[in-house]
Amino acid sequence: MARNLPLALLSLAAGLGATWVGARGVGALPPLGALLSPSVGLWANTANDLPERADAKIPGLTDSVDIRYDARSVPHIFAKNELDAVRALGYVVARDRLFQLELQSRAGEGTLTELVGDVALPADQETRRLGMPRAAEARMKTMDTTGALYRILAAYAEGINAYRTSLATAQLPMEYKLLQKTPREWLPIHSSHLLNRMGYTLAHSPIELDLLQARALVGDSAARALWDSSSPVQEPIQPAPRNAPREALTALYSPGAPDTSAQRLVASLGSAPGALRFIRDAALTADERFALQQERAFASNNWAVSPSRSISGKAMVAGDPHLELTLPSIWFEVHLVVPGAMDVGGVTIPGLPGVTIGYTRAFAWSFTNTGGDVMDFWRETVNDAARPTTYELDGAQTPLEARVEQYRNAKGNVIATDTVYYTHRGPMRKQGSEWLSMRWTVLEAGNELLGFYQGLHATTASAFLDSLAAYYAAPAQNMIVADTAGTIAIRSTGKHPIRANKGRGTDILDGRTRGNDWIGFRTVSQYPQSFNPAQGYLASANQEPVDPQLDSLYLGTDAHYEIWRALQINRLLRADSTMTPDQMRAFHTDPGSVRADRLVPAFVAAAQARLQQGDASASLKAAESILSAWDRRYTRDNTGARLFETAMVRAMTLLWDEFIPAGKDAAVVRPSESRLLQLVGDAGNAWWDDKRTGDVREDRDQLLARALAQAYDTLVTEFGDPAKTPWTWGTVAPAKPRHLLRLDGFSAPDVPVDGGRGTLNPSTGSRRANFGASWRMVAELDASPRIRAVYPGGQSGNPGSPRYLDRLATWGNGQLDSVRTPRTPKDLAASDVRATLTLTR
Amino acid sequence: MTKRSIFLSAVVLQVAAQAFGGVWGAAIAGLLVGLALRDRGAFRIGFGSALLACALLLAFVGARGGDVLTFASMLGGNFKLPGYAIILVTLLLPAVQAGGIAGGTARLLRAQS
Repeated sequence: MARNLPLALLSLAAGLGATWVGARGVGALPPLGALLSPSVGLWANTANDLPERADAKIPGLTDSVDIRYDARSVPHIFAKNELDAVRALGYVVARDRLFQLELQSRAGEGTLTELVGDVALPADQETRRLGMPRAAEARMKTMDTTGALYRILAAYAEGINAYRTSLATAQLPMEYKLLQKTPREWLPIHSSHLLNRMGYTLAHSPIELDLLQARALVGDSAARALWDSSSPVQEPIQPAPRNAPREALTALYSPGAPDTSAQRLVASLGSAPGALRFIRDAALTADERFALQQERAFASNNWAVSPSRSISGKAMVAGDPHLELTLPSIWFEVHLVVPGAMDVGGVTIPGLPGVTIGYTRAFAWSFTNTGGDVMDFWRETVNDAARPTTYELDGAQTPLEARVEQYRNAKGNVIATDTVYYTHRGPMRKQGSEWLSMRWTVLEAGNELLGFYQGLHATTASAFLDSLAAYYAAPAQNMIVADTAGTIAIRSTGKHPIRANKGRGTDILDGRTRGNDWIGFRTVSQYPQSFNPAQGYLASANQEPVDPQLDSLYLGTDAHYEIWRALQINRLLRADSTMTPDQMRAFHTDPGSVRADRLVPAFVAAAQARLQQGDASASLKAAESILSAWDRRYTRDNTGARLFETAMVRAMTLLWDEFIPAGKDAAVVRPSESRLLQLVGDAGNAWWDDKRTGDVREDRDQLLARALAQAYDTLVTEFGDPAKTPWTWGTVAPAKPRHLLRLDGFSAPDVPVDGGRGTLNPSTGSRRANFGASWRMVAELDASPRIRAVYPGGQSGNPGSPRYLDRLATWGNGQLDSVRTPRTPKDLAASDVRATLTLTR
Repeated sequence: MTKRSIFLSAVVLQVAAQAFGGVWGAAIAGLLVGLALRDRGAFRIGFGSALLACALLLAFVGARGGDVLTFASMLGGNFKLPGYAIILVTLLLPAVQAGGIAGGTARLLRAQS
C-alpha cells in the first residue's frame, strides 16, 4: 500500500499530464496529441490525396457536372450551364485551397486577427483604415441580387460551402488544425474583399508624401526632377513610331535650398517613422523600405508577336505575372467547358470566380500591372482636431461619416478599436496635426468579373478587350491578347483619373474646394493601347504606358513604373523576327539585363579610375576583378551578380544622403533607380557629393568605387572569401516560395534560378520577400490554341500532398508543361486522367 | 488469458480507441486497461499497446498513400526538429498517456484491495 500509492500517483500524473498536453497544449506548445494523432491529426492529411473516383453533392446544382483531373492535377470541369460550372469551380478550388480562400479574403476584410491572432493586427488596421471592407460592403449593398454578378458570386459560394460542410474534422486542412479553427462559411462578399486585396497589392503606390518630404529637403525643382517627371528612357507599352527606345537623359537639378512651405507641412504631418501612414510599410525607415521594394518585385511581363514575326505564321502571346511566391501558389489552374457557351482555361485566383489569365478556343491573354497614379490626397479642414464631425467644403461644413472598426482575436474578444472617418472622397486619417483624406480607384471598383464573363464569349481579341474595358476599373492592367485570326492587341485598362486644371496627382491638394477633385476618368479611347502595330510585336513590363511626348495627360511618374525589363524584352523581340514558342519560353528566364549592361561598366570604370589614381584598397581591387570578369548575365552559376546587386544598394544609400534630415542617420525617401542613368553620364553632378564627409567633395567615381568596396566587404562577411567560396548566384540568391503562414517546414527548399532584379525573371528570395514569376504561359494561336504553362508549387494546398510541390522543379528550370485542352471528357486519354469527380444535386 | 493475448487485446482496443477518439481515445483505452489489469504489468501493457497501435495507424496512413517519412521531415522543419523526432513524439505521446493511466489506475486499485 505504502509503496503503491506514490507510484500510482506518479504514473497517473504522467498519463494525465501527457493527455492534457496532448489535448490542450501548454504555453506556446500546441496540442500535440490532436495534431500528431495518425487518425485525426496532421498525418491524416497525407493519406488518400485526390482519390481516383469521388462523388459529391452541391445543393444548388441544376445538372450533374463531370470533372476530370488530368495528369497535372488540373480539373477539367464539364458542365451543362455556366452557373453550374461556377459552382463546380468553387468546389474544386475549395477542395485544394480551402485555407487559402479564407486567409486571402480575411486579408482584404481586415479580420486576419480572428484567424491567426493578434500578430495580424497592424495588417488588419491598415486594411480597414484604407476603407477596403467598407467599400466591399457598399458594393454588395447596391448589387442587384437577381443580376448576373451576384448570381455568379452566390454560385461560387455554394460550391465552396458544399465542400466545406462535407469535411470531417480529420479532413480539415492542416492550417486549421494548427490554428485550432474551423473554416467559416464563404459569402459572396468575401470575393469582393479579395478583389480589394488585389487592388492593395497592385495599385497602392502613393508618391505625394515622398515628393513632399523631398521638397522639404532639397527644394522644389530638384525634388520634382526626381519624383514628378517621366522615366528617363521611354520604351512605352503603346509603341512609339520609332525602332529604338527614346533616351531623355537630361541633367538632374542639383539639390537646392529646402522648400519652406513643404517643410512646414512635413512638420505638421510629423516626421517620426510611421507618421505618414498612407505609405506602405510606413513603420520602416526609407532604407529598409527601399531594400524591401528592391526585393518585392511586384511586376510582370507580357508580350505578343504577330504572324509576320513567328516562324509558324501564327500569333503568339506570353505572360508571367510576378507576385509573391507562396505555397500554395496564388494561382490555381482550371479548365471550364460548357458546350456552346464557354470553353476557357488558365489560372484562377482562389476566391475570385473566374479565369484571370488564360485562353479560350479563339484567343489567349495575359496581364501586367499598369501601376499608374490612382490614389490622391487632400488636406482637410475639420471642425474638431481630435474628434471631427464635419469638414469644410466649398464654404460649408459637411458631415463626416464615422465608422467604428473593432478588431477581434481568435477567441472573438475585442483587442482594438478604431474610428475611421470618411469624406466624399474616401477615408480620412490624422497625420500629425493634419487630417488627410484619400481617393483611390480600388475602392470604386467591383464589376470586373462581369467583364471577364462577357469577354469569354468573345471570338476576337478586340471584342475581348472591349468587354473588359466596359466593366474593368481596378487595379488597372495592361491586357495583352492574341487571337487565332492573327490579331495582337494591348490596352492599359482601368480607371485612370483626370485631375482638375490638367493637374498631376503628385501634390497634396487643398480639400476645402471641390475644384480640386478628380473631374473624370480617361475614356476607353484615351487608354494607352495598340492593335496590330507595324512593328509586329507588343510588350509590357510595368513601364510607362505611353510616351508623354505623344500623350501628355498625366498617368503617373517614373516612380510608378520600372524601365529595365521593358528595355530587355524589347531588345530581345526587336532582334528576332522568326519567333517560336520555345524562344518565347526561354525569354521568361533570359538572364540578360539592360540594367547591368548600362550600370556595371560605370562601377568598373570608377574602380579602375580610382585604382589608377592610387587607391590602394585591396577590397576595391578584388571587387573590380570580379565585376569586370562578369558577363552581366544572371545565370544561376554566375559569381558577379551578387556583388553588383549589393553595390547598387550601397551606391543608392551613399548617393541620396541629401534625403537624410538633420539629426537623423537614415534617408526618409529614395528616388527610383532609373535616375542613375541620368547621373552616371554626369560625373561632377552635386548629387554625387556625400555631404557627410565634410570638406571632401566626391564625384561619381569616388562614390561608385566606395560603394563597390563596401559591398565587397559586406559580402565577405556574409558569404566568405570569394576566392575560396565564390558567390554563386543560385546559392546566394535562390527563389524561396514560402508557406502562407511562413512555416519553414511547409515552405519550398531553395530553388536556384536564372534571373534577378532587372531581368525578365526577377526571382530572388530574401529574408523578407520572395517574389518572382508566379505563372508562366506561352500560347500559340493555331486553329486550336497550343498552351504551355507552369507555376511554382503545385495544385494542392496541402503540404502533405504529393501535388504540393510537384511543379517546382519544372518552374525552377525554366521549362513549361503542355496544357491539356479537351473539348469533352472523352478527349482526355485514360492514361492522362488522374482522378474523376462527379457532382450532383 | 495469456499475457500475449492480453497484450493483443489491448492493442486492438487502442487501435479502435485512437482511430475514433484520437488523443482522448488513447487515454480512455489506457484507463480500461488499468481497470482490467489490477495485476502487475498494466503500465507496460498500456504503454506498449498504445505505442504499437499508434505505429499501426501510422503504417495505415502510409498504406493509404501518405509519405510518412517525408512529411515527418516537413513537420519537423516547423519546429526545428528532425523528422524522426516527430515520429517518436507521435508514438510516445499516446504510449505515455495510456501507460501512465493504466499503470496508475491498476496500482490504485491494488492499493485499495
